[in-house]
Amino acid sequence: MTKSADLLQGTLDLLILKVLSLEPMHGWAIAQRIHQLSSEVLTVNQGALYPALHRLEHQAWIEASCGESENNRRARYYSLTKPGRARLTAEEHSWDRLSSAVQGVLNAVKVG
Amino acid sequence: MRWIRSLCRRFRSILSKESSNAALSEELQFHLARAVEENMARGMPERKAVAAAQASFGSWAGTTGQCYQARGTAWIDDFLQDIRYGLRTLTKNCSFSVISILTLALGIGACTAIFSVFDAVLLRSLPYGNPEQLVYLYTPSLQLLRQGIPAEFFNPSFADFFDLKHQSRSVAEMTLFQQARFNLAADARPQRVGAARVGADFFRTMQSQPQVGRAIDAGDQQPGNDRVAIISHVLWEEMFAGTNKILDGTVRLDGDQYRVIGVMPPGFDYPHKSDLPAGLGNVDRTQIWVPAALTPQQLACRDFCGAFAVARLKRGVTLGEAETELRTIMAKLDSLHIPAMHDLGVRLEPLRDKSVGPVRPLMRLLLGAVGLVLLIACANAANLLMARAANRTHELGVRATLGARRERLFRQMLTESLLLSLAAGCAGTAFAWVFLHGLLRLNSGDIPRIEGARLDLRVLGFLVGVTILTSLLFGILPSLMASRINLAQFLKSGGMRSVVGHRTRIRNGLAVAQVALVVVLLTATGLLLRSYAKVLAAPVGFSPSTITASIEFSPQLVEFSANPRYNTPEKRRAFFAETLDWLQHTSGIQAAGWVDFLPFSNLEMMTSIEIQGYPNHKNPLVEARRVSPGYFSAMQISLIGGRGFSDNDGPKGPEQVIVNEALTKEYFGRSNPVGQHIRISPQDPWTTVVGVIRDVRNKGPETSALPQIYGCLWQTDTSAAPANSAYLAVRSTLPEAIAVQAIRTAIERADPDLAVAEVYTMRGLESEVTSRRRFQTVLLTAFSAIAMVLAVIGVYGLLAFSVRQRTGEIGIRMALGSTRKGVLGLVLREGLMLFGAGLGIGIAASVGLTRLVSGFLYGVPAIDPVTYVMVPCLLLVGTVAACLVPGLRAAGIDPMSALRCE
Repeated sequence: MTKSADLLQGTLDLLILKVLSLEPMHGWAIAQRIHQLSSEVLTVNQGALYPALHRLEHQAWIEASCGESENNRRARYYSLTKPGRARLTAEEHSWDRLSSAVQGVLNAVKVG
Repeated sequence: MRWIRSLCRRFRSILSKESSNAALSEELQFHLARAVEENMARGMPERKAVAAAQASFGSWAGTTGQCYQARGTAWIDDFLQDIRYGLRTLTKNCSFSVISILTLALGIGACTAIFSVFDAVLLRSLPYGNPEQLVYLYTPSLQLLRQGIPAEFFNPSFADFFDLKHQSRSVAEMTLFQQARFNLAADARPQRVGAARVGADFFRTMQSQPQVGRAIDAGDQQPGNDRVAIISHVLWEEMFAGTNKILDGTVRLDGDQYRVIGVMPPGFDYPHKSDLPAGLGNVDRTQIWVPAALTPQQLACRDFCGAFAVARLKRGVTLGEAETELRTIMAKLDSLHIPAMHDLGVRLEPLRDKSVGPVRPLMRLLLGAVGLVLLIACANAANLLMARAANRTHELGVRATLGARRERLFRQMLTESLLLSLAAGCAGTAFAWVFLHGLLRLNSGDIPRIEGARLDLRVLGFLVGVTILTSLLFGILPSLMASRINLAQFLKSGGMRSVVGHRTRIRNGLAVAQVALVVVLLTATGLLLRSYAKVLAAPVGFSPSTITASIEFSPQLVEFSANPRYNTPEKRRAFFAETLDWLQHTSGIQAAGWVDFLPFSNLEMMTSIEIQGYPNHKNPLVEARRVSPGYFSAMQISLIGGRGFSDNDGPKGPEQVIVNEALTKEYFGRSNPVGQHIRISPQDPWTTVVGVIRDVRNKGPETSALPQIYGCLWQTDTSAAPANSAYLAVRSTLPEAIAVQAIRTAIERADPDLAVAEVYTMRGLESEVTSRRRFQTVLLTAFSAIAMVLAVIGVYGLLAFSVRQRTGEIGIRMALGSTRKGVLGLVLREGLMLFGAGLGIGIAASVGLTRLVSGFLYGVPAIDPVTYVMVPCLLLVGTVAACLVPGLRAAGIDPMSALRCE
């Protein structure tokens, strides 16, 4: 696995945690929400989404429960746990630092 | 905390695997359904919507697999699956599994057992502190030393000992002790135990203190205070159940009360039978220590005494330095000695060399033999594993083609190998236990501390590691190579089971090595077996059916003359005559006679003689014995010239002696010794040789007889040091128990206070003397038998495999006209080529290694033609048997079905 793929995976985890911090939702809804919120720039493939959800669940940052979907179908709803919330804060923090650092480099190069 | 929860979750998801799989499937289905709905909402027709959703969804199986991996239970699951699969393949190939497990287990078991003994005897430290500083001290007469009497027969006199002790600067501690035997009475169950009378500094010198109570100190050495005893740990547990109440309790030793003041720690049984070069042969190990309590007369005595001296050298002082210093002191003491004791030297000998030195070669031989067995076992297992790996090339190829990752295949092979090694380890532990107990039962009794051998877990662990390594090396590497096979090529070959590569060469090499190793082992065993047979057939000179009994004139007293009942020759003669008289009138007793030193009893009296008319022989050394007239016929020692003693050879008549063949040959050559004159020292009158008897091997069947001279007990019991013990030899037609009873009665009638110390048959003594040889021969035979079975299995396995691989080829040969006999010959030739190569290498190695076994041989040349013919014959039979089974199978192949199979 390459470095950029790692980064992408970490980013997906952050996005999932962030989206779930609003309300519990199922997999499909998470993908849709990320798509909408990113102004349709980011498309989350289910091949990446579901393994990520299972991994996060196993790290106890999110938990799953059964619920009824909008159109009255049984679905698995994911919600953020307490350690997951703490993780989100930490991830956000490090993302901020990372992106501002990247931004700084880009700006510096632009000026130069 | 989190990892615990995560672990719980993992296990839960393993347990509820079905339901979580269902949930995952449902979740993905839901996702797909929503995608379809979305597409339809955008106005697609249903079929198109489904197709588009599926296209964007990608691989269903891939996602499922990734989720499954993400759950973190994959490895546990795979592991369990590997174990299940491994067990299944192992049980399916039952004969392979059983043979390889047994092979490895035998190797592990035998090696662990022998090494455990090796460790107990040679490696584990002796039960006293810094044993490398301990030395025996002897003061040999330089003149007698030159005549070939070993230094270890000369213990220092008491007075010399104390002078050396006080003047020496190189010795840190020095002590002396005497061996003794007591009748120990406790709970009315008398028992004969080995004991030692020790000086006050004995335990300090040994650097070993009682575990309970105190050591013997100077106060205990005062006559009157000396009725104290220290007992061994074994005795404490056996007789007193290990209670602390034993302190200040009493034990009865030969009728006297001794107060127990201490208990030694477990393992301390010094002196052990093997610790002393010239100790009492019938004391196996010491269980009781009492003060020596020397009298003022003894302290002033400068004559040789029966006490052993042990010194602890100061740190940094070498043996040579100490010897030089002690020699100078001894030289200064020279003027204090009587003329016969002038010119005494000092000899130091490390205690460790004395106690374990003699068994070191035996232990090494056994370790070497068992190492060969292990090598053969590993080679065998390796061969089997490689055969199996070659067989599985097909399976692995198919699995790789179906998408199994190499890492996954590797892991599965690893699990299988570990399962195999684990099973071998378990079985090996069981074997080791059985072998060790068998070994201890076989114990020849003269190997020190062998009873202390415990299963050595470190060695067991190490050997299981070796087998794991073997199974990894030969089980996995070939599989790895196989898994690397070019898939395209594999598929092109049509998945035929014919991937035969250079590995056959390795396998042939392993089989040849096995045969060669077995040849080495079998040759050594053959030589030992032949030696043993020669020892059993050796002419000992007397009849093994003779019953003997020993008495001790004064068991409590070290100096014989101190017992007033037997302090003159007349009193002793009266006792001997009275017992013989009674026995002569007992019906069924054919002959009876007394002797002062019985053959095989580990006691010997050496003396120098002078022969009239042969001045060239300066003081030749001979073994001297005094016997009563009936002794020769009781022992069935045959007379070959002249006459035996008779009761007419009384104290008044001229002294007569009888000599043996060896003396005749050595000193009289062809001339007749009867009528010649011999004397022991220039002061003695000449004695006449009246008869010549056959040689008697007094030391044991393996040592040929020295010149011997016999005096008549009725005439010559006048020498300075009469023996404290005497042996009665009896020949009878009665059953053994009744004859023994008659002997006891005879001795009891002559002196009710004199107990019979020991009763044995000469056969029993002989078996005791040859026990070490029996021990080594039995062990080596057992190992070679194991090794041979393993090697035959190895050859068989190799050929059986080769026949299976060449089924197609054999089919073609038969189709082209080869007869069944020809096919059989093909297989036999292959087997015999392996055998021939192995035999050649093995014989060359054996010849090269003869030096190692030559020390164990008796009467057999190291390159013994019989052995070197028998071993190849035996192996040839084994190999042909191993070849016949696969050979007949090959001959029975139906060419049609063989070809169709391809």
